[in-house]
Amino acid sequence: MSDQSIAFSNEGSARAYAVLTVVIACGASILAYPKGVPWSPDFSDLTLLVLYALGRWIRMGVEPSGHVTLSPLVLFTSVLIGRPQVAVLSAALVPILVTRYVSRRKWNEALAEAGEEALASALFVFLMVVTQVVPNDPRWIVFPVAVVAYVLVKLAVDGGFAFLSAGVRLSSSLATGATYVLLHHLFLAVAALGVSLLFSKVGFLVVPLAAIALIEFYYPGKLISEQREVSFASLSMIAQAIDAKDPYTAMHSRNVSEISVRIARSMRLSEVDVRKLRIGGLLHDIGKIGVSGQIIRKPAGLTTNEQLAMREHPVVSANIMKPVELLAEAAELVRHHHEHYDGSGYPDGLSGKAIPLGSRIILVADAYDAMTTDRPYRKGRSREEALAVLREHAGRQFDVNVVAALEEVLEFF
Amino acid sequence: METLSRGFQSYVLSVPLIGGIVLLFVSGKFQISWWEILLFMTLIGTASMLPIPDPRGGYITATGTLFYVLMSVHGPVASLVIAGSAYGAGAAVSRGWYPWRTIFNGAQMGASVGLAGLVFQLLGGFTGDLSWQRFLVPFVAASLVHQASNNFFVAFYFSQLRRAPLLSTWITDIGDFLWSNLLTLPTAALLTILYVTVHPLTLLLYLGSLPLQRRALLLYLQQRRLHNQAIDALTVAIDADFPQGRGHSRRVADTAMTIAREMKIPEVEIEAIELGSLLHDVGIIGLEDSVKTGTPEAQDDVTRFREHVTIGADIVRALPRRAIWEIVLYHHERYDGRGYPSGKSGNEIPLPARIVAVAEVFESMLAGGFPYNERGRSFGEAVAGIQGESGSAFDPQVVQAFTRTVDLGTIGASREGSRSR
Repeated sequence: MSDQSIAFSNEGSARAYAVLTVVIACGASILAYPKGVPWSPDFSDLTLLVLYALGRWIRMGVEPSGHVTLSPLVLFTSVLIGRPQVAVLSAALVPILVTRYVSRRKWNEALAEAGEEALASALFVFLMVVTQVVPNDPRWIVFPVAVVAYVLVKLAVDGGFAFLSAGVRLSSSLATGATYVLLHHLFLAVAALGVSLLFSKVGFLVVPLAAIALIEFYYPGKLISEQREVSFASLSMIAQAIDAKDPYTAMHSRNVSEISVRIARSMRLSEVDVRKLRIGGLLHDIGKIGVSGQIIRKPAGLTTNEQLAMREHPVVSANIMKPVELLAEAAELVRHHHEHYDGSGYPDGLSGKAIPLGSRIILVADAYDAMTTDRPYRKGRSREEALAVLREHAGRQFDVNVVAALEEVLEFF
Repeated sequence: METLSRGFQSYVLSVPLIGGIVLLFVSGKFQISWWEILLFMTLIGTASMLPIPDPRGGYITATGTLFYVLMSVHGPVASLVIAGSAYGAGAAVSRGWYPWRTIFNGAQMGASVGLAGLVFQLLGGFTGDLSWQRFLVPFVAASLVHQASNNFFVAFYFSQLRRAPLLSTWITDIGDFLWSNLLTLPTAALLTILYVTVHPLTLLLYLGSLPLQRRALLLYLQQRRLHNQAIDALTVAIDADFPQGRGHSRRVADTAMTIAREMKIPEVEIEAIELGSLLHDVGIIGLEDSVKTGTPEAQDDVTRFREHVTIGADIVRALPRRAIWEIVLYHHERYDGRGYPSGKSGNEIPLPARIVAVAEVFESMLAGGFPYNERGRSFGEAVAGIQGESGSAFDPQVVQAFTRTVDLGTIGASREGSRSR
């Protein structure tokens, strides 16, 4: 039953994509390595390498996919103060180690991120070195161009990975996360420019001072980003503990959350709505915590009282969530996740567009996952059978558009 | 305030007095323009009214950073006057106007910052030459002197007020604040460089960043609170389903943490041990009622009951700490390899799980119920029960640490406390 998990797993193609990125990035790094520029490694280069790793440690997640770090500051600065070699080397070697062993991401993610960083950095260094830009040079125009190129490569590589591993479309990752990512890097570019100017006035001392000062400034951001993941993990743990009352639905809440998110992305909902759905899908059955396990597991023939208890659970769920600040926004969706499109559902008998779109999505995701899961009294239906049932009831129980969106999502996997 | 001793009153008065005398003697000219004075006064005053939550607890203000810029750029005399009056004014606005306290606070801060400025100059510090020898080293030394002196004034104040021992309070304070003081130095040094080479008004950028930091940290603390509430709620749900009843998970966590501290396990790991012990029986939620309430007699029920460790491990797998998962999965393994679910033995069982195994059995013996007798054992019997299984059920090293904590009274004490709740 636990291997009966989510219908979408593209681990394989995500891994292949990650490895391919790394291979291309290795080639690009070797090509971009500035052999022509004289270099005798010294203590400053070592400092830059360490600062690069520290910057990488400040890692902040970006919705809907990807992340930003502070290492670009060190990368840009290294090139601007005339040490492009250490920039290429750090970008090629450090990210994989820090992402895997310090930030403890999965191998797929670590590989994809390392490849992304090395590839983008190689392009950046190549553009800067081939045009031989030095500080106080009138051709400074190259620097902003190289920064933008760097960001674009990162966004493209990351967008591909997000699509393969989480079904996020490039258009939606560009629409929401990209602006933030671009602004973040532009800010770091301005800061790097400032540091390189101070460097020419004061000396190398300012480089570590500025990098560490900025790392401190961003540290709360890193804490929030990590805590957000931990909070979500503990919510999903609670959801799973409730699911465990019925061993046949061990992964149900997580699946509903994941399917709802994918439907929402396919329907191009805003990231705010996606976040609500992620939490709403996860906790939609939290009200069952008070319903006895025996009723939940009962195959059929509930008594009237038992039915009442079951029908009460969306309201109980919503009431549990409402007082908690960060869950309140999803409570409304959970309350109405058993309303039917024709008004025959519960608890409020809403119909059509009066039902929040998020609730209509959870209803479809819930039904799909329930139908495809094995039960003690019947085997789970196949994907096609489940879709046929959904289509049959579309317009009465389910929203036609949501069912269509689910079909679209399933086509990819 | 009537109860203050005469000695204390004279101390409070003497600090500003000494400050004034130092000021007279140094009587150096102010080489600082009126608008720079205004800038620092405003910034320090504002910063002292903008406390920023520290993730490790308490609040910090950004005044320290500004003091270091001030003392390195403008020397001891200007530092003493500006830091003293601005800090006093800020304290008066944010915490109310109590003449003696405001004046004392301002004076001690002025004296500390002035002293730091003096040390900076004596060590050859010079902001015209921003090298590490002539700038950074004196800068760091001056900041340490500032901290030590500030901690001394405060420790002395409290030693008079609450009769706390002066020297040990002072040394503890220095240790407690050292790390956060060192962390302000890169920013302070950078701001000094910007102040000198670019423009004094760059300090305003820094002031502008403070509300951002404050907001970010408040958000973080809010999220952490939510997380803790979620874990607490789940713990209550686990215990409600369990024969040993309310507080069992919490008591196991307290005992496991005490043993772990005795074994000198790093605090980060202890945090994971706490969470792991709170959740060690989370899989019980997934068991049928017949299995978890009654005494299991049928072989089927025993087998099913044993599944709670694997069900639980599946549930906590989403949490980012591996130790939590290990504790939930392996807390019923035995040192001699006869436990479940995988029959691991000795050091194959992760240490956190070996610790929680001892804590779990100890608490269950005291509480009584399945699989022990109904009434529960006495404290001494339970301790003997654990020691008797050293090397068979339990890791001898963990049992040794457990015995030490019992001898020291730490476990006994925490037991009494938790029982009365």
